[in-house]
Amino acid sequence: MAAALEATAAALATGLELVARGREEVTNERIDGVGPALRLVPIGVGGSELMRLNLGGKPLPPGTAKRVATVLGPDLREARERLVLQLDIAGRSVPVVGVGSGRPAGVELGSALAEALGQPATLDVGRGPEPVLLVRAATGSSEDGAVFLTLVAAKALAGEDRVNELQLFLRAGVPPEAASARLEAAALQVQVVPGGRGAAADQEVQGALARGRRLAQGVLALLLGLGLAVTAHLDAAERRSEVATLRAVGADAATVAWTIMARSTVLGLAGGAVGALAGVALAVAQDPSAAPRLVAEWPVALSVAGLCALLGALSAGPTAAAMATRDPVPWLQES
Amino acid sequence: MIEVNEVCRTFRAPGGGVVQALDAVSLTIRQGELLAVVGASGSGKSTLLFTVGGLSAPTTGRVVIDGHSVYDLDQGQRAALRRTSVGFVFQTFNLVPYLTTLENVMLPSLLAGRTRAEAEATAVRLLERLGLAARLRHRPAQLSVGERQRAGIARSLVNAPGVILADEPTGNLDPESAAQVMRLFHQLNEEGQTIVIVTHDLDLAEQAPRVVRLRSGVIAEDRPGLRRLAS
Repeated sequence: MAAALEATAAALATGLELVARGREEVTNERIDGVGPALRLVPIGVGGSELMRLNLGGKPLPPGTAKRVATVLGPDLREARERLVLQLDIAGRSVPVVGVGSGRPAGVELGSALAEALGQPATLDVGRGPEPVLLVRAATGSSEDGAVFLTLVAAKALAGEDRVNELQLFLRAGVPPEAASARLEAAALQVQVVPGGRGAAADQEVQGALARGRRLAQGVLALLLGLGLAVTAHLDAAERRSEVATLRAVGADAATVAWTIMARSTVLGLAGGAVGALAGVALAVAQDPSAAPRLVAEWPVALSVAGLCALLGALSAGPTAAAMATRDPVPWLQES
Repeated sequence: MIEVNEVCRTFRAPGGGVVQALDAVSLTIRQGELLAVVGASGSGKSTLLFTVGGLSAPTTGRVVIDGHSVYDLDQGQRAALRRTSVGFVFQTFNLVPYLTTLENVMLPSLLAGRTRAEAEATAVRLLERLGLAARLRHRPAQLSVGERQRAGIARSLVNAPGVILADEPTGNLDPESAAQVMRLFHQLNEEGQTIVIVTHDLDLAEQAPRVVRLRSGVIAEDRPGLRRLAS
């Protein structure tokens, strides 16, 4: 019974956590679609140049992405390197953004540029005519007037291996201002600027997500602890004849207490492990498309099982102490 | 030798008030003695047994086993005394249900710090002697009641204690098993084992060399048994 209760609680804890993570991921992806939380650009790039996506010829110092990852640790979800150039295309100066690696040969156009050029099927950015793969939805930013291609292609166009922008996407609940301050303090020799995607709203959404998750985790941990304490007590009460026998044959108080706590710990671990696996299954059932991502979150299941074992040990403590010291004679006579 | 000096034991009654289970009981149990304690229900027999065995502290008075004043020892020392000097046998056998017969008998030995091999060798020897050689790997639920009690007796003997304290050891047994168990106690006593048996069965009690009768927590009679068991 104790293990079943622990398994149920663990399943709920794991399932909720994974579903919350899935929701957070979806929300993050939506927010990320608007833009990054922070941008790192070379020192000296002014506000109007940023607005016009004219980042000049200076690169970011080599290894900036790695140093940023070290400074921000798990608060950083993704650091996206970009090379932004200004090229003459169809008789106008157009920002060309190299980013990412997954796209095949071809270009994507910002909505305003596509309209200005008459929705072309191909475009020559200096490598001969290339197919226009996609016209991006309007964002209301200067990126609506840009051409997008892969980072490798942009570096080839520039003729050098460099990047001049790093876009940072943060984890839910991490205030961009705080991350910015940490980066400033790390003296990275770069300029940290807000991502311009409505940081306040972003922070509010992410903060609400994180607070909701912490609240759910806290309530579940409390329920789990109380449930384990009650079941440890009931379990020990059921086994008090055995405990009394142990004491009669010479087990000292510490041995008796450790026996009770070890049993509760093992039950907690077993129940937690079964429950955590059930929680993963529940989360996958709730959102089958998220299965690969949820399976990758296996440390959550491991943590929940470990937490169950720890709570099992701690919650059995008071019962173990009482049973190790109370008069065992009535228990010996009642069986 | 065990000395019980002016031992009183009171309990709070569930509805209030106090129950005097033992009232200034004094008793000397000599090495190698077989003593039967008899009396009506509630006369204080089991209370006396568990008090002698270091499991239930008297309200006043002293219990001395082999020169140690039992209740002047701390809990750890008292547990050690129970491991080495006392062996309990219970009416309801009190075997651990998920352990095998062999493991149940080994338990006090392991608690006393012996190696598994030593504990197993001693337990096997005892179980063979008590006719349970074929039951070593059986769990208590797979044994007859007589076999369970013999396993309980083997467990009480495994650390070669100075005294065996048996609380109604035949209370849950059929007459044949009860007679077997009593014969076993007599055999052990003939080999020099000190044994105290609490029983309400007067026929069995009278087979003991010495009978102590308790009445309302007071020793009302302390005399030789009327009928020694025919071996």
